[in-house]
Amino acid sequence: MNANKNRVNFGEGRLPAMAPLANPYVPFQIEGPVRYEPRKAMVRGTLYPGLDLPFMGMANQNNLPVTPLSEVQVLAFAVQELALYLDTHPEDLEALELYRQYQELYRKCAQAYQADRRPLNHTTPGRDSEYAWLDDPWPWEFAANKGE
Amino acid sequence: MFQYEKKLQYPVRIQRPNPRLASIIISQYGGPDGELGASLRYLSQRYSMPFDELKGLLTDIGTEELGHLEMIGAIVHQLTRNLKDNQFRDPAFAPYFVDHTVGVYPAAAAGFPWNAASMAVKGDPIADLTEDLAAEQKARVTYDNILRLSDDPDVNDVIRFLREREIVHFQRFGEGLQRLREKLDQRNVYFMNPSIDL
Repeated sequence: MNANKNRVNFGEGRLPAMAPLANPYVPFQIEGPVRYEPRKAMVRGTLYPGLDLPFMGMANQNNLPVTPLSEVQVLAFAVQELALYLDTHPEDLEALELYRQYQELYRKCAQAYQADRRPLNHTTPGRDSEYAWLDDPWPWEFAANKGE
Repeated sequence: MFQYEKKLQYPVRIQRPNPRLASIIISQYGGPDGELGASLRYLSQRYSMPFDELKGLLTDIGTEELGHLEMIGAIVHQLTRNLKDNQFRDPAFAPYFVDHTVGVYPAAAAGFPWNAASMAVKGDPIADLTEDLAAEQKARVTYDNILRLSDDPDVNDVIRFLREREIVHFQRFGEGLQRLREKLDQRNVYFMNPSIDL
């Protein structure tokens, strides 16, 4: 996972050479774009520096607490970003390979998280006789996010 | 089908309740360019999309928007928790409070309830994807405006994340539109409606 192998592609897009008139165009992100590492990607809201366009220079700093939950969120976010990229770039085999690697990292991380009586969904097998699904806190509550 | 995942996409940890700010943020829950409209727009448009990459793109972005709806709900909820009497009386929050207490209700900041008229499903992929490009821009500007109005760093951290997602979605919708165009008659991409004539 060499994130900066294709440094030349930073922020670059490709427009069609001969394009039908009276149509809206967005430059196509060229293959092999530069990437952030996954934790920085989630903090910034995108895996791709070329798409990272903050308002009035106000960008999030890397102050995300490292918690079992944030590990899961970071890997899920990397998978989501690669999924959206692959939806429009299904031929990019390097991105496909990266998508598979992050899927595998996510799977292991989510498994470890859930083994500690924190089911992520109803298909998580329970380890004990209690119904852990109802355990507080729920995701929208402050206590679930305070980073302990 | 949809299955609940018991986590937010990005952490929401608002330390200081602020009902005045909640009454602004609620617009991204149920306002004209909010996350409810975004998710329903994309998840409804996908049925008439003619190609697999467009079905996938609308499904994936529409699903992510449901996660953003939940994050906005979490912001509003945390901004209105443990309020004192004088905070209920904040003139900016009282009109919301009288109807919804501290429940999270899909309405615009100006008070009108969520309305399906704020989104469109035209049933033509070029028209719908062009609508989606505009929708992402309008949501981005709403987040810009929230950043102008809010000085709460905990709120702004989440808003900046959500704003950046609009830019990424704009990019992907534009690419989806280009992939669609490549499959159409280059001399006249408006020759027919690929949703019903292919």
